Amino acid sequence: MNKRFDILLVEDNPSDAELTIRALKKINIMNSLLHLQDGEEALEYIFCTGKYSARNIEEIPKLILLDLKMPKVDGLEVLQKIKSDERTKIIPVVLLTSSKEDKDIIDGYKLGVNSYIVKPVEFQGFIKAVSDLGLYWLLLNQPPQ
Amino acid sequence: MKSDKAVILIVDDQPSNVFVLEHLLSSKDRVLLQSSNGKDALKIALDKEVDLIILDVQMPGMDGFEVAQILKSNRRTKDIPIIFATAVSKEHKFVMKGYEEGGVDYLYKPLDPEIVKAKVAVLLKIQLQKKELIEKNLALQKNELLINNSSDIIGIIDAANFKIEEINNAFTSILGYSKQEAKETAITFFLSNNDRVLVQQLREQRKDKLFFETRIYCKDRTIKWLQWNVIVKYGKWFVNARDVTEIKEVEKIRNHLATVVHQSNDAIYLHDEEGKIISWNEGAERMYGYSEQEALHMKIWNIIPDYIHPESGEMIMSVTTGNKIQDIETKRVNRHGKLLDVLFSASLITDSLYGHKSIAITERDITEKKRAEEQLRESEKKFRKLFENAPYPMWAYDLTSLKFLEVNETAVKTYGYTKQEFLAMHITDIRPEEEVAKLLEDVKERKKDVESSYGWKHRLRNGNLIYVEITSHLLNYNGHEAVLVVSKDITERKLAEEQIKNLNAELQTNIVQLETTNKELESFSYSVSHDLRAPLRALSGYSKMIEEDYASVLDNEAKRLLGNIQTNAQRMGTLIDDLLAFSRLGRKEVQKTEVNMLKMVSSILNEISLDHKANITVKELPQAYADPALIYQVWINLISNAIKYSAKNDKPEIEIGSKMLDEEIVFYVRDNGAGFDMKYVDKLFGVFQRLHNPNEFEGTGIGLAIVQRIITKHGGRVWATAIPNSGASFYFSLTEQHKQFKHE
Repeated sequence: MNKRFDILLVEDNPSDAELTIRALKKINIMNSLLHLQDGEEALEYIFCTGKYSARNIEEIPKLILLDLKMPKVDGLEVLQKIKSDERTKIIPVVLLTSSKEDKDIIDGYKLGVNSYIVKPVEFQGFIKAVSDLGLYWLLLNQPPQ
Repeated sequence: MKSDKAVILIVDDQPSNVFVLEHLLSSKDRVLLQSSNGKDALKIALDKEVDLIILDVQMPGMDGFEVAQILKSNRRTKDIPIIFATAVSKEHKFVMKGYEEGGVDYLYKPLDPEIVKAKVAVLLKIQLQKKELIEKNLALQKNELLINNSSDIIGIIDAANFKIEEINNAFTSILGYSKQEAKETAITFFLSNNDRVLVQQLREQRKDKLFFETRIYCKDRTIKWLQWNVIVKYGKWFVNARDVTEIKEVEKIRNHLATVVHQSNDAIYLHDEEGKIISWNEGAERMYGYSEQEALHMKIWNIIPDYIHPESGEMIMSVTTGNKIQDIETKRVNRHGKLLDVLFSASLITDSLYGHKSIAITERDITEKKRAEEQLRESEKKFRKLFENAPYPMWAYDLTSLKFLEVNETAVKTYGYTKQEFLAMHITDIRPEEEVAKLLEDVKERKKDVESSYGWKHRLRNGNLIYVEITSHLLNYNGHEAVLVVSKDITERKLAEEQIKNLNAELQTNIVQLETTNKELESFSYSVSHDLRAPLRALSGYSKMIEEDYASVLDNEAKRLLGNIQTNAQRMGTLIDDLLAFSRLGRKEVQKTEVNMLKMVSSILNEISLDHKANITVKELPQAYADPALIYQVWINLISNAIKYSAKNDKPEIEIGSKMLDEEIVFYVRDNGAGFDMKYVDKLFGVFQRLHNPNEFEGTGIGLAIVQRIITKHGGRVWATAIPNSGASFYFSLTEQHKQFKHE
């Protein structure tokens, strides 16, 4: 429980989660990834409530990959909570979405999302998109300390 | 005086004395009368006009003094001078008594002839002079009476300074000034400035007689007219001035009247018993076209049409006998032969002096009025015909009593009441009760001449209600303030409207439903994009994982099959994307602006220049008015289609351009590629409709469907022509763009 994770993957679809994890593994930045099943659990983890109440809130992840469409609390709502809290708003958040609907993307940017990625159906494309993203945020982009 | 001769009466009882005196006094200018006693003498003195009496004092019976006393007491005789002749009574007391009795002198007997002669002569002279004076005085008194009794002003004015020297009472009675005020005042003082100048000028003419008129101020400041008659003599004006104010006023009024008559628009003229015109006013000149000069040489027959000469003659006869004619309509003819309708009046004037008879005529031209009346009658007739035969129900009702005044045949047919029934009814009787209050209010407020209203209900005789449209206007109907109504049965229209209203309401409901459905569809497509793609990703991903993780145990056929799974999953993904793109188009608003088509096409060609080997020619492309993002999509789809379907040609040629077609600008993209069979042209623009096998040309069949949807949304049209294996041409027009260019 006290382990610190670099990447937080919030994804309700197990297949998508597995494919994402596999894509990241392929480029060897998979050692510290936590997969959470839905938005509610993500909020509990990030803000150290519920079963994550023992966690130190200051141990923030380096990147949050957030699926847009989830049961209970959806991605945009999680994003809004993260970006409106001083302690968490510096965390880079990337929205994962299967939709190209302009509205979702615009709403995401309004709430302060750092990037978004449309999950391609084609596996190679998906791997490439996810790994490019992971590399960029984990290796190139230096979050403010 | 009966004669010029002086009459001397000698009274003496002694004939010798008488004789002597006659002898002494006899003269051819004297008449000598004699009497022997006092009684006779008195008789003579009373009968005759005696100028002198010589009276003997001592007479038997009545003595001289007694006689003198009686004479003096009589008015007729008291002024006759008496000479007493006495022989005895020479004493002083007798003499005094004689004088007391009014005698004048004494003669003493014996008579001294010379003294007698002289005394008689002197006394006679005095007496005659006295008589003459009395007579003159009397004459003067008469004159003064005459002068003062005159109603004319009579007076004497000093010609040098116009001062009034003598003036009679008339000056006071006419002008109000007293004689004192008048005397020594210059007459010019009473005159107006103009008249003052006039009389001065007259004086300068130095004529013996003057005749003129002036105005003169009365004491009460009113003005009167005087007519002066002056005789100039001895440097004086002997004047007679007559007050002619009233005459002047009458004259003024007469002049005014004459002017009024002369200028009247009516023809006013006089003619004599023979019909000769003797006066002719301006109205007559205008009406008949004859000048006064001409008319005075005419007879009335010139202006009376031939065919009514006989009756006109009778009419004149009738007037001559004193009958008056008032406002009879008859005909006249003017100088140009035009017949006039006139209103004719005539009356007789008889000259008070000579008894000449003339006939005064007044004629008013009513030709226009008659014509207007005729027209009115004519139009009333037409209106009546129109009213009776109108295809719409019409009626008139009294604005006050609301009773029907008139109703036409169509109304009878439409409403089912007979005419008699209608005329016994009120307008309120055909209205349903709930509308009566509004009707009464409308009638009360009625001001506008013409009004139209719509949607009233009228009740037919059978009780049915019909909807009507009403046009009404105010009119005067035989003296009644009335409303003329045209009613139009619009029940069917009204029902149709109700139907339309219902349909509209239904449509509204449908729209709401449609909007709901649209929203549902939107959320449907949203979830499709998420939910359908996830399993596809899994399908593709897991098959790839098998391929990677179990590569050593899979033979080539297994790998081919896994590859097919991935390809199809991908294809499914593309289909879903296209479908979503297409459905998004349906929701998108078209936002038009100026579009530089040439620039747009050039930039597309730049972007794709590396992906093809076709030779692309771009001809002239005009500006367009369209949604740039959507038109961009159209060009992309058409150009990429052209590239795709011509790719198999050895020398792919593509032409992009525009042309005028029936005043419409049409854009086109032409290729020399695969083309298609024109019998399938209908399917060309359908969603997911393809005319080629995916093995031959890849694609989902959404591209042209999108093109068509965009062009339709712009109000334009899109079509294609093709020959299999020779190429295809795709055309589109943008109506708005065409309009835009027509403006420029």
